[in-house]
Amino acid sequence: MAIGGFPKFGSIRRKIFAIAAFTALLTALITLLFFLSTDYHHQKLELLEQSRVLSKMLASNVSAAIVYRDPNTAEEILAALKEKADVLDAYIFTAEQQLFAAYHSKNAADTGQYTPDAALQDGFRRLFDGYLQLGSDHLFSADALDLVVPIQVDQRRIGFVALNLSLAELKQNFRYTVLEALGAMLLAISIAVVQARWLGAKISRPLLQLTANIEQISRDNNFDARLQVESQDETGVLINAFNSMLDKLEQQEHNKNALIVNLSHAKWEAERASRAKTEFLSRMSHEFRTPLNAVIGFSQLLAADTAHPLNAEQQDSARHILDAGLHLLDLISELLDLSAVESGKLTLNIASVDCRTVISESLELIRRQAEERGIRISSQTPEHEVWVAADRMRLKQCLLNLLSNAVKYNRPHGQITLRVEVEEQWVRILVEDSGAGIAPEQFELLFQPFSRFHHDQDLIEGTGIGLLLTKHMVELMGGELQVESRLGLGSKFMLMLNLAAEPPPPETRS
Amino acid sequence: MVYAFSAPVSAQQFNETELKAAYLYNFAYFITWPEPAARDFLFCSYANTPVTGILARLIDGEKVHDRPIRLLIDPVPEQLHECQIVFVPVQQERVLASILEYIRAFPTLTVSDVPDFEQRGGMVRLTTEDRRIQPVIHLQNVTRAKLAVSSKLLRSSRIAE
Repeated sequence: MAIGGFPKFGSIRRKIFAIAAFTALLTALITLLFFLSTDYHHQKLELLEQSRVLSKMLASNVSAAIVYRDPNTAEEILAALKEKADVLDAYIFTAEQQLFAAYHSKNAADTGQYTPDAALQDGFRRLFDGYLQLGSDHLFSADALDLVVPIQVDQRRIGFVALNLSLAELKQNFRYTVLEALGAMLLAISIAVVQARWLGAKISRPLLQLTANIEQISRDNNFDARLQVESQDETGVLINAFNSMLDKLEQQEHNKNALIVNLSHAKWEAERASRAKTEFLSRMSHEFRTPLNAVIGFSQLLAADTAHPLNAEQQDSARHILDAGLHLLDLISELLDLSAVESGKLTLNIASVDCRTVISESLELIRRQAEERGIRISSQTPEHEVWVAADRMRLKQCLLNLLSNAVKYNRPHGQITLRVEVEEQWVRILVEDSGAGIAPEQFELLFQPFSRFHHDQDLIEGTGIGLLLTKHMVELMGGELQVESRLGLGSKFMLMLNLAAEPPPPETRS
Repeated sequence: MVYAFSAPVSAQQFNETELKAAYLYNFAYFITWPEPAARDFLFCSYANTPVTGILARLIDGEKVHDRPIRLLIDPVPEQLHECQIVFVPVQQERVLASILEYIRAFPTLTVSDVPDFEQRGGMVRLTTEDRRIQPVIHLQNVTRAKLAVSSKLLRSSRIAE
């Protein structure tokens, strides 16, 4: 964004520069044209006015000379015109329009601009007639000004003065004026250009600075930085807005960091607690096992001691002790397994296993327990061997767990169905019971440790970690544990395992 | 540079009398009088010169600085001081001295074609030289009468001492 924005900032400076330069140029041109045309007109008018004054003075001065028929004096008076270089010719006519006195500048004769006398005089006579009739006393031609002024004594017109003036000097002056004006225009434009550059830089510099700062901030994620406000104009407002945005960002960053700290602390606490729990379970299970082994061992010794045989009542008690001890050992083993799974220490020995033998062994072990509750177990297993990738012992443990649950949570005189379905990649072992079933909202709790949700849970022994352990172990074997259930109609647990190749013959008897 | 004036227009179309009348008439415009008492500008001349008739034609209906011009022919001596300009033709030479005497104390311009007019106390003499009529002005006599002559006129005149 910042990189893409950069040329735009450059172009603001260029735009300002172009606008200022264009304005300066246009203004200068218009002013120049206006000034020059006005000035030329003005110079002509000024020349005309000066010449009029001069002619009137001449007219006044020569009046007596005309009246008293003194052309020599008249020519002397005219001779003073040699001080005024642009007067080429001067004539004095009598009232009868007859030439009375004349003056010709040496310049006019020398430069060849000298017009034949008679033609010029006739021109003046016509001009004077025009003046008498129309009131226009002058005539501008390409390079000359002709002017006539009447000579009067009191109200009486006794003749007229006629001047033929060169416009060369005026044109020369005008050329100088043009040059001066052009110079002034160039100066003005260069000042405008310099000012435009300065102005452009002044406007674009804070923007470039802002861009650089934004880049810096987004690169470093440093929201502490604040931009300096150097002017109160729009760029200043922009920078202020940006600064307040930075305030908000900094606040949010601060909140976010605080939250992260809190969360990570809580996470660390939770992990520590979990680790402590696992460790505690592991240690306690271990500690439990030692005395339990003594209980089991000695109860077996009691029952099996032929030297001091127990009577029937004692035998029965010893068997209770043994059963309870074995059950407790199972529970502790499950706890140990769970903590091993959760700490990742459980290692499986996965091989090709014929699941039919595992199933039949498991069914054999659970049968007595089922019969005690009057539950009928029916199993449908394939005729031939079905090889799956599994740890034989753990698979048996999983199956026993599922079957034992099916017994425990079944209704009395209920039914358990075990089926094996073989598909292309999978082997599915289904264990169906006819128990109370599981409500859908309880599915999530199903695999939580230590959660037991049957209303009559207190009557059923168990730690509540069996299903979780089964799920973990099946997944470690690359399989999956699924459950379907309808409240009141029983539950169906599906154990899915990868189909495996048949192992070479020597390996199968293990 | 002044070129030669090839075609002078001077006395070709006018005879001497007409020129004298014109010159006389134009003095009214190149002489300044003290503050006048009367409204009219009064020319005084004598009937025994042809100049008077021509002058009468020239000044008919004219004005000098908004003052109507009036011609008084053959003024009696008591009237002379009312005149602004008195022309004493050569035909009137015998009474010249008395005329001058009558107007000595008044601002009246005296003009004449009597040859030694300025030596006899006159102010402006019209002389004919080389077929050109030229005013000869005696400045002392003019200024003594509190009159002022325009420099324009002086440039085209001869000054007498």
